Amino acid sequence: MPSPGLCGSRLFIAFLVACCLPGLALLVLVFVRHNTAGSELLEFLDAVLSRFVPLSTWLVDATRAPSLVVSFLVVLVAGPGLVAPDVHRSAMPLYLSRPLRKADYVLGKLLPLLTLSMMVGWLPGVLVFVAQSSFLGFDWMLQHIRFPLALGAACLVWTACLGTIALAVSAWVRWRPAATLGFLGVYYVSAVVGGVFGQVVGDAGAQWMGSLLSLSDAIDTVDHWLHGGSSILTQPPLPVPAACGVLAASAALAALVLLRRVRATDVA
Amino acid sequence: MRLGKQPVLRDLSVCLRGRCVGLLGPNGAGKTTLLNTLLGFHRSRTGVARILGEDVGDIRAVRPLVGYMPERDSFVAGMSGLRFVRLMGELSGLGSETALERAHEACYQVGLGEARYRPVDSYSAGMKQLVKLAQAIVHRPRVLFLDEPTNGLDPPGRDRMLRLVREIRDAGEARILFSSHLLRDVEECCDEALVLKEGRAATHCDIEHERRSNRKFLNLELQGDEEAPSADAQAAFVQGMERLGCEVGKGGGRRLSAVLPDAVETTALYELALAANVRIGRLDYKRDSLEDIFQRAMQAPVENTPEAEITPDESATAERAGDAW
Repeated sequence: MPSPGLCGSRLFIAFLVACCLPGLALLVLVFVRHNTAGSELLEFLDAVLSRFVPLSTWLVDATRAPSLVVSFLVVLVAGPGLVAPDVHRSAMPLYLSRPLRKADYVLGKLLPLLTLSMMVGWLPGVLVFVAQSSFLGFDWMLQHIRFPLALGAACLVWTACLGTIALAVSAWVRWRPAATLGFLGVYYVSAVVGGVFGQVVGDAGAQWMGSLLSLSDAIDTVDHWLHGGSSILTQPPLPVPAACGVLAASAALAALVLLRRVRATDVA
Repeated sequence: MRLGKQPVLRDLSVCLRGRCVGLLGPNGAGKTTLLNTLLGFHRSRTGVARILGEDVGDIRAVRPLVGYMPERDSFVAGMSGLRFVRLMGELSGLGSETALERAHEACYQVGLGEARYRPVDSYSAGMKQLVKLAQAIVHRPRVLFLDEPTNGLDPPGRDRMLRLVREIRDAGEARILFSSHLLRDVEECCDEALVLKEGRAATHCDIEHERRSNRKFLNLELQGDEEAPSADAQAAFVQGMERLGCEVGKGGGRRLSAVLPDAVETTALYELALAANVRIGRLDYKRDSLEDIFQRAMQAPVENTPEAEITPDESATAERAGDAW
């Protein structure tokens, strides 16, 4: 289902371009790193990079985090505006009197989010990977082939989960600015509540339980697992099944709320 | 059919055949619920509803056949009329180019003209109704559901909407189910009427046939030789009318209303009056109108209106004959 008006705004186009900037910066960095061998600039770059990430994995780490942030921003900016106007303008009977089920409508709204997120979150990462491969050779590409796949999968899972929540809030609140605030509220309040719970109770088990309320901890764990490592940010680390469960349960709950609100008539 | 715990549609068994069927009834009679059920918005726990032989639950089969114009303002935000109608065409299964072509046609047909390039948000109430009609017909449905299409329209807007409905009806491309609480609108457009009362079919009739039926409605005012007729004389006159096969209703005092069988002429009443020693001071003859049909349906207990129901066998016969929706 087309998503009218999503890309009609110049501001939104500018936002999408801005989302591609980290990828562009990384492309430049890759180019510089491979064309300034032995120079002072390379030594300086390596010195700076090594402060933050191991040099052997700098590309993976530098690409992964912006990709998830960009996905989050895409959902934040575009998600709340997808369902709220339809509910507000009573467009649901028009959609649902066509050969569409509620699930088709929801998927139709989720698809632009996934597409945009992959375009600005995953594609730049793939380009960086291809650029790096062109400098380091086919063997390097084969050795690290997991990287673009993991990046895409993480991007997809993260956008699907956040997108469903954003659509649910959007359908519930009906007004776009309020829906945006609501989405931020759901995202941050749950993380803060989880964090506070973990800190107040104090022991590792409680902190682990607290992390279950934090979507960012869950995606961080899943993301690291997809890339073949383990999270250093989420402490104590969440078990991967629990993190997957958190994301799946959040998306399922949001989908349930969304499907209840997406209806052709006011009377159920 | 229940909404929550409240039963809304009960024992409803009808088979619609008309080119344009008026769906009438007081508030809460179940008109919108019936439309929503036929559109598959509500699932009934028991019974079946079919459109053109397809079960309404099979949305992939039914909904491309159906066009729907909702009662309330319903739009997709931030679109021109043309883009909105095109989108609705695409969602109905048309290809992008075909949908654009049909959107132009539909907008032109309803009279939106150059306004089709303007945002729907800037439309007047009348134009919003027109664009709603355009989106309902863009995919050339075989059945069209119109829910209060003249709502909020001024007289010229209303006339234009009714003319459009008649044009669609006469073109014969779509059968129309026209839900309205305005009897005049239904009378102007529809050839069949389904009157709902308390979720049941109170009357289902062919309007034209009903108008031409062998019923004559009379309002009578009786007089005596010099003053009011005696009660005995009046009672004798009423009994005489009933023997002739008339349905007589007392309007209070000297006034009577009556339905005459086709075989009985009004002269027979004068002869009867002479025999009963009363005089007919005034006799108004009028044909049955939709308002009469509606009023009768509202006054009669639903269970006692045999024409309200069409048996499943009759429905099946009509469907087999290809006449039913």
